Amino acid sequence: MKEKIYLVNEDLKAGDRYKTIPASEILLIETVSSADFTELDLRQENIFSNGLYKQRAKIDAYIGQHLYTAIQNLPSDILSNERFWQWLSLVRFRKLYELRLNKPISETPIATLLSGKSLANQNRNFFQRIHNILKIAYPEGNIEDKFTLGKRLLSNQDAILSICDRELGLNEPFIRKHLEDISNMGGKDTQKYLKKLNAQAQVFLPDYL
Amino acid sequence: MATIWPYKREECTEIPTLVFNPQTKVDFDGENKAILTEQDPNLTEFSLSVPLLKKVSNYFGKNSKDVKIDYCLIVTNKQTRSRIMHKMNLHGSSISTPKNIKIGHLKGLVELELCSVLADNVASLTDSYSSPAIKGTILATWPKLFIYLDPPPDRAGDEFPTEWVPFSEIESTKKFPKAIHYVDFDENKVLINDDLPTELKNILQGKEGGPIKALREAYFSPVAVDICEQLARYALNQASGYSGIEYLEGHYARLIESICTLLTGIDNPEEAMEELNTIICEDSNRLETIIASTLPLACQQLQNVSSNLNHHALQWESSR
Repeated sequence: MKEKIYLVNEDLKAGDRYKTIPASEILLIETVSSADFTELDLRQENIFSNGLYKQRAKIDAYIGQHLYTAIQNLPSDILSNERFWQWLSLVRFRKLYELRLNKPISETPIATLLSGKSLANQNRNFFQRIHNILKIAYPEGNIEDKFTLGKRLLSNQDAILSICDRELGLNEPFIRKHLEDISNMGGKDTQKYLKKLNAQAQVFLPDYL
Repeated sequence: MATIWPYKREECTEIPTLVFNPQTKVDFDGENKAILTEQDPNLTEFSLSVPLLKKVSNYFGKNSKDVKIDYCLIVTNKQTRSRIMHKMNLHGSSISTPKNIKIGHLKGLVELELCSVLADNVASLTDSYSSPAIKGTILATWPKLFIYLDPPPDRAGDEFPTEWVPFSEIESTKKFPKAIHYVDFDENKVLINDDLPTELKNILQGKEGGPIKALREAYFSPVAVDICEQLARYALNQASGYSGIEYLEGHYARLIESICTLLTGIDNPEEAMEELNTIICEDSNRLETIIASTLPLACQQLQNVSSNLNHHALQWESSR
């Protein structure tokens, strides 16, 4: 069932407010957009009731497809608004998000919770990071491979960071050609491979490769 | 051999001309920054044109029939994670966007990069075996242009405003009456000493051009370098305390971004940032060396001091 999408309607950075404010007290503003989070809610429930995924890193691969499917059709205006990701992480799916964090909210770096405007900061929020990489992997939202590629990518944090932290990651058609290879690599190999692509992009316009 | 055309990419200095729709009011800051002061996002669009680069157009000479060159404009908007490549049209001796490019849906800063590339692989050129032959090779680039869809928070001087204050009246500076400037990190301000002798202040505060302007710039150049160094040092130390560059914000983040290639010696900005971050997080000895030895040089390079001063030296030379 579709539900309304909200944006945080206050500056949670001011005075490090995000560290202490409970979800119920965060000021919100309703948008005209809506999304269906039923499947994601179900996954969240499974995680908590069945004790699934005590390993934090596996949570991304477990929820990725359902998070992406729920929000992929939202207008770009919302998806590029850091206050949408703040609502998603600190209000709507706060319990799940807290479980995914390494530290309590009060000790978590600001960008991991509040997102940001730079490429790197847009890739610190776990939910946004999932969206960023899956948008490259499944541009039209058609997941025809039983989410095999998505799972592999979401299990390789180095891949997500190396691709989506870089400007090269904005060239989605180019990166997409390399995703299959990258998803099978380990951390160091991923970084090496991305460095190579980056070097290539200094000499050639990647759109032609 | 690797440093002269055609083996090196041509870096054109001609700044492309940006034209916006009449409803969009623009304030140009320098030649390559356009700040939109009034706009209707539904209408905001621009066109871009620039004279054709002679070297690229002439280079392949009699082989030009075998070689196809494309001119491409890359429009990047990091805030919306958007990047679109537009092919430009060639009209006589200039290249231009085939139609107006809409940008009202983007946010923050839009970056425009123009380049010419080989449109296809070149089979073999009998008289230029070393020339670029692979499709997509970048042959030439033009200066990058920036469009600020909202007034940027960091317009020169805004974030670090400069204020003339008597150093004798400020707690931190009153023991240094002969000092010229002080960076106040608590207030995010650069203070200039209003107690300086009147004759000197007349030059520093004046607006006259010509030799007085040259003198003013000569006085202020080392001050600018020193301020840059202080800010960068502060940012690096902050990043070290926060365990990473990514937690730097605003002016500090941008300064480190612009100086990282100079500090690390790595040309690619993204790799340089990555390397600098590793140094900050894992190699405090190297960070100390960078701050002590490389940073002062990097700031001079960044501020382009010698070129600016030489510009005045040349003018003086020609007027003798």
